[in-house]
Amino acid sequence: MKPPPPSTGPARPSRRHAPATGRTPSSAGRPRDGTPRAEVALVYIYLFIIVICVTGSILSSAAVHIGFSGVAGFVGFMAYFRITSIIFVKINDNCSRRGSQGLSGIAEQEPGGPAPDEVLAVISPLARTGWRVMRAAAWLMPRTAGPRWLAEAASSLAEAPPTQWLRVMLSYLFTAPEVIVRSWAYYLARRIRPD
Amino acid sequence: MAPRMTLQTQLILQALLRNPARELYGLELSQETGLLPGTAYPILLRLENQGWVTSRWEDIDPHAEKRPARRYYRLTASGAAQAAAAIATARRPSRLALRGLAGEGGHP
Repeated sequence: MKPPPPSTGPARPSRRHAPATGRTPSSAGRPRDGTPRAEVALVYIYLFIIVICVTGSILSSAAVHIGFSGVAGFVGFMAYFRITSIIFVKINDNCSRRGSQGLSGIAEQEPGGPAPDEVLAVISPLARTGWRVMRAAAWLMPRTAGPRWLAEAASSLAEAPPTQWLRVMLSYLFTAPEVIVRSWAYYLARRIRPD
Repeated sequence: MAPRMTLQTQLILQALLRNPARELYGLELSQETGLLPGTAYPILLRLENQGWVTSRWEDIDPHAEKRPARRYYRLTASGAAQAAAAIATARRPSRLALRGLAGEGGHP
């Protein structure tokens, strides 16, 4: 009979017996971070639009060159939605692994950044919803770019007159897809060629 | 590779070139150029990625100051020279384009 392998240290605790992390369990009608469902839905719609716009434009330009039609077009269309959903799951996983607590925690990651809660305390409910959408957009950016973009937006919002908050916020939201694409391109270029 | 010299890029570079040693933060830049801060951000990001601009966070305690830290931008030495050359050779913006930009009303 084969002897059992020697122990190399303390046994890894099983998930079932993991210590409590202090987070409150999710209550019915609200996700874990306390965001109302309607706002989360809005955020996901916005994320979906961004991903569709980015991947759709890449695929459509490729399709024009290849000449997709019929069955190939249908398979391509379905594959596109499958890939989109996988990207969403991957992004969500990465965000959770970083310890950002999903959508709500990302702004606190920037060391020189602002205190977003203080900004949120003074802006209007409409702008507050916009802020949640911005957090979602920041969530789609690479690890350092998202919090920085969000921190700068919060800095501008904090010093802009209240009548301009919505315009400032919309200006950030309208350019968010460009910032997402640009920051990922820069991030990947740095990964491939670190110098 | 030089960044694309759009009208907005030219405006930002001109604002930074007025005093290359001076640091400007996002809202200040938007007031000087007439662009909204969100419009200026991707341009600044592009210029920073090209090495023309450098940026840093303001060193303050946000709680004590009761406002978030600002991100300051300024031209690098090589960036200032390249920007001056690029603006000199760039196409002059038409009056119509400038009027359209004024219509954006980005003076928060």
